[in-house]
Amino acid sequence: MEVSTLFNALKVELGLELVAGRAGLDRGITGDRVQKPALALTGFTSMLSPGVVQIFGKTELDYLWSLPPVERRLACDFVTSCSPPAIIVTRGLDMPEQLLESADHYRVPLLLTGLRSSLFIEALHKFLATRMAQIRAIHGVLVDVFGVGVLIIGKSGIGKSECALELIMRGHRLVADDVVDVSLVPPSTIIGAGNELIRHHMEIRGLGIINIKDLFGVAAIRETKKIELVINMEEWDASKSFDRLGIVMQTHDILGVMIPRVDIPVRPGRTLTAIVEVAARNQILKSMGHHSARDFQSRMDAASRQGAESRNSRIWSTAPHALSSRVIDDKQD
Amino acid sequence: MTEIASTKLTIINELGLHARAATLLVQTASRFSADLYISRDGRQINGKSIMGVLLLTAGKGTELDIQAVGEDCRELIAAIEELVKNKFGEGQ
Repeated sequence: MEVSTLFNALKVELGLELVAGRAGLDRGITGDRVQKPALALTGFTSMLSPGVVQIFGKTELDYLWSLPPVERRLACDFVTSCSPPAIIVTRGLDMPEQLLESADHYRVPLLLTGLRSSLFIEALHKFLATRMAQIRAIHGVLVDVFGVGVLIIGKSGIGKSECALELIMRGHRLVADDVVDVSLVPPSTIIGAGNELIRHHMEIRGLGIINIKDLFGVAAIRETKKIELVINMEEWDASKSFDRLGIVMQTHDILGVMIPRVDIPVRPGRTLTAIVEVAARNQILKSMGHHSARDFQSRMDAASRQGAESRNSRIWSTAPHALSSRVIDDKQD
Repeated sequence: MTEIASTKLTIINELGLHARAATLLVQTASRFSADLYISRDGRQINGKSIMGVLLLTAGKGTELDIQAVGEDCRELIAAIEELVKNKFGEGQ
């Protein structure tokens, strides 16, 4: 994003004023955070992040004013020569002419706002986060199942929309069908939304395009949802082995964030809706710290350890029910 | 190794990629096993999804980047090219 874009978008709202360095308005902002240069004014510039807007608050200005003019210009040059995309002075603070000269010389746009640093930085962060959020379209269906954002992916025609439709009929909510716009909200939240043009419509083979909002009402839809689980529908393949225990967590990369993924084999007549519902319930448990498969495994491990320790125990040969009764014993403990 | 074929196409029929044309395109693409991706201005959609293709809102003169991935990708691209060239059978 160019500095001019930021300036034009915020000049009224945040009372921004361009005081110097107009020639650098085409500089690009790449960081979605801002920085207060502080020590960079003394020449320690190695911590200045490239592409990040620099905020000069009371600390920076007081320091500059405390210096004799020649050193003051030098201090300004330390920062401007590193080519930050822009310098923004807050609180409407009085700026030394050396700062203006330095900004013009190195073509760094120098902006002034009347807001306090804390308020200004908060507003700027919000602006940068929304503007710089990466958006990508993913082919899939996003449904809110028991409050868990479930993204169903898979090849065309495998039955994603049909599965979503069944979920809606069971009272779950559709976010987007076919084209899901995903964006990253730092640090690691992935938000999915439907495209405005086709929002809340679905294409069901045999029926055509249907409007979920009209057919099922507002409670059957929602605008956006955090994606917490990916269901990958795959064609049933006897040669491929699918997870039988669920101990190893698979993940799916969306914009660099790893989202838990479940691969589910699809075969005609196999009801996926129930499986998706249970996967969502399981995800809720996991997010609360319970991992069904791992709990089960540790119970089994404990049972087999006990079996090995006890000389008389013949778990498998003499007492076929020993294992299950041990599991129950464990629970009672 | 997965085969990839790609091309650039300009929509030339009067109505653009409207509902009927989009359906025809998706139906054609679905006959092939290769995956089809269509992008407009950097926004990519799945060419086998009606919603996606409609979302391109590609009117007359729109340039589209078309990419096919899979065994019969070349045949798929040829079929799509043919379809667009024939103005989706609309004759105008």
